Amino acid sequence: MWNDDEIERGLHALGAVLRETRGLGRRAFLTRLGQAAATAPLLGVLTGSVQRVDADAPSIATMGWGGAWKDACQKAYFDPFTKKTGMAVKYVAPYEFAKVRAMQEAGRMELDVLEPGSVDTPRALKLGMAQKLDWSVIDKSALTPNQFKYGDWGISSITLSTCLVYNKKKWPGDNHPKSWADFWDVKKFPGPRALQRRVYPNLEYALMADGIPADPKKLYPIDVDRAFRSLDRIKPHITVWHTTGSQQQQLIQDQEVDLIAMWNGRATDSITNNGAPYQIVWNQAAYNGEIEAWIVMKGAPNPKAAMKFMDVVGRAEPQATFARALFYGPTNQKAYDFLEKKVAQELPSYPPNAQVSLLMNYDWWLDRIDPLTVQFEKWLQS
Amino acid sequence: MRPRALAWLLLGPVAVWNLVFFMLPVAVMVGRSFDAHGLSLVHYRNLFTTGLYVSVMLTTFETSVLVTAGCLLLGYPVAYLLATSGPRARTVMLVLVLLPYWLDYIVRSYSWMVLLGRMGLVNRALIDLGVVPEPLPILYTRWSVTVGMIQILLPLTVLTLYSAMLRIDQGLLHAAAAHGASPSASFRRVFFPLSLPGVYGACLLTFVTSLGFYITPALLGGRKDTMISQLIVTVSTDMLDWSLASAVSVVLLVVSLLIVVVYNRFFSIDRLWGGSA
Repeated sequence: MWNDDEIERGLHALGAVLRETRGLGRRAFLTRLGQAAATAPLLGVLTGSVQRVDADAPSIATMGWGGAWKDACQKAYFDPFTKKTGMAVKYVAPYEFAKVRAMQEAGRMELDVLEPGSVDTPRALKLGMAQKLDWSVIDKSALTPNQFKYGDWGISSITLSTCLVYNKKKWPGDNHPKSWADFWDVKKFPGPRALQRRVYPNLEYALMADGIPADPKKLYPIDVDRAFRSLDRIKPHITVWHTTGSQQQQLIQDQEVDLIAMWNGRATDSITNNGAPYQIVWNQAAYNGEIEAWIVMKGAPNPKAAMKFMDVVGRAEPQATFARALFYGPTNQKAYDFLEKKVAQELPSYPPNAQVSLLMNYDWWLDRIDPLTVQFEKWLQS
Repeated sequence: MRPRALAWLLLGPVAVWNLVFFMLPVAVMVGRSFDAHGLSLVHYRNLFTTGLYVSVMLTTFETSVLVTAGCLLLGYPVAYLLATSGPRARTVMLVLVLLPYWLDYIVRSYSWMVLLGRMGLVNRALIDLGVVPEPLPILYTRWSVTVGMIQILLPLTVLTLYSAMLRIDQGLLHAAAAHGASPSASFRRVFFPLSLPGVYGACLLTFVTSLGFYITPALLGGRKDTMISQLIVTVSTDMLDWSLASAVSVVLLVVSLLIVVVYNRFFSIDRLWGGSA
């Protein structure tokens, strides 16, 4: 399997070189390109060696996405952990839940801690992958009550929303798409559109487009037939069903579509760092809330150190650092004390944003994802 | 050492390698596809009754046929030129054929997005030249998947054809010319028939390779251009249903093997690798 994030990082580096060298002569350009290529393999070595680690001390292992995600984890969680304990964190990338499942099945868990992506957290707990947290090591008072969604089994980590994002060049004024009903309205807002190739939260969007308000009490249990009937109406107007985060970013950076449902952090990165002329709509965003959590793996090679690591990840300051890097919001509400308003208002858990979002009910989804994924894929082919 | 013993000794390492890293995992996969708390055909029944897998399999075949035809049409003339030109020109052409082959699939697929996108090079050129008023929807279609895959597989087709054409005895062409055959007649009646084993072999290799494509249709295709590997990934990594994923993979494997067997029966692909017809 190819590593999306490494390629992304490579393309970023190439893009930077091309920008820097605009207007240089051929010889100067080649020299600069050669330098970039020569330093590229060194990057990993350098970032790895910045931290002075006691070679004999035990280390812990985790798995996650590569690229910017890894860098953010390093800054927010790993560096403070290493500073406190002298232990290193081994990082396996890219994140693949199937691999973790294989380790569990084989009875050889190689990871100590994990932050499973969105619905993978309740899934991991259901599969019995986690072990109980040791509150004698983890300082409970540093956490806020909403972080205990999973009781003794996990500490809620970051928040993500999948939002409607629109092209500001096309709709610069006040008359721009503001809801899923607008996304569905191809007459009022013509232009190519993109949705995620994943059954959730597309069913939720479809129902909101059909007039159900962004209120979990009214939207769940989902009326699946009604949702698919609503999706039928927008299907012919969807140019692309995207599958990865970097694809989402490419779609708005190249202005391939005018309307898109995408992850808020990816959108903010494209808008602020890569000049995509787009705007996030927080209204009716699919908000993950406290679904994502750090867990300690059952059968972890180093459970004691893992608990010490858990004492870092839920705290306000590390979560604020992570949010500043990737725009995924903290669950620890005290983290907002550390965040400047400019960053805070880009985050899913920022109260004004969260209040207008739809809080996803993954308890409803958990047992239905597989059959509905098949139904959704079949629907795509028809 | 007796030649027979030597042959076994030489084959040994690769046989062991294949056994441990290929045959064994495949056997595990086949076993898993029949497993549902005991021996069962439930995954296969699922697979054939859901409709999804069969329709995606058909798309996979359709796309692979298109890609194979495209590669053959574009690749044959190139291979012919390679086989008939002098050593210098041949080296230059070979490098040009191989250069894209060394580039990663994903990079090449992404490049097609830059070319074919709404604001891509092709659309911008067409609009600036006044050919079309609005960008054409060329990306995320069967067409863009086919074009991307042809570009990726073309070197494979060309090299297979070329190596078969190299074995054609140039003396026969000279003889045809000496007996008054025009260049086109000698191509039609001598060179082309002799190149057919290469054509059959190249078609088979290209076709079977395209059956397993994943990245290119995922990046360049629309919803109805899904190929079977994409579904296998969804079923195994999103749904974690490894038995069903195994069953789909086994069907793909069996179908590919059947194609090879039937094909071999009619076209005798052994000839491609120097066996006698």
